[in-house]
Amino acid sequence: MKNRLKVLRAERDWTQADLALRLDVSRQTVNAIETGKYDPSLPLAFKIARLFGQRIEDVFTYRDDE
Amino acid sequence: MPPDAPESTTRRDRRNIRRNTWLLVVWVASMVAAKQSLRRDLLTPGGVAWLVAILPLVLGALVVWSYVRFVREADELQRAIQLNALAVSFGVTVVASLAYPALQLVGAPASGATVFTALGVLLYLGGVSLGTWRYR
Repeated sequence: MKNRLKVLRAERDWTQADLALRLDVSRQTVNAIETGKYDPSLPLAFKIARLFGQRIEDVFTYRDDE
Repeated sequence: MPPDAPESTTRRDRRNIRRNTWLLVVWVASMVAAKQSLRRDLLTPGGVAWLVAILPLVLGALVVWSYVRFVREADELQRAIQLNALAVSFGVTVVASLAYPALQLVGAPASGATVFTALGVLLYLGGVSLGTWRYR
């Protein structure tokens, strides 16, 4: 799954730690999502989308080759 | 630590891990103390001896409760890491402990439950380390 998390975070000038704190997850989780090593649960994906004021499909994109 | 360096646990996880660690230390100490005092006949058989023998069980139950609480409240990536580590450690330990008696029949050295428990603990710790490294 691809995502725009790093771009959205950079637009707000937030560090991974800032975002992790807002999402109540670890910084490692934010890092793993950004680098595509870990796909978040649906509730966390919604939480991320709502935090950035976006629709979930505007933040996360499913690739057919997955 | 650089601002974007991965940190594998939240504050809540660290608090739960601290509690787990303290309970684990107290549990192990109670087991050692109970075994030593019961083996050396420091206690007269009866109520107090039973109490000393049962205390590690109660503390062990507290350790299990504390770990379950940690997993339930853990950050979701941490929970995935714990689940993978538990699956490997539990699976390998069960397979090894069931298969080893057959190996003993063809000459493998005798082994006890302590060895398989240690194997399980080592695999769990290795699994957590590997998972943390994988998602670094």
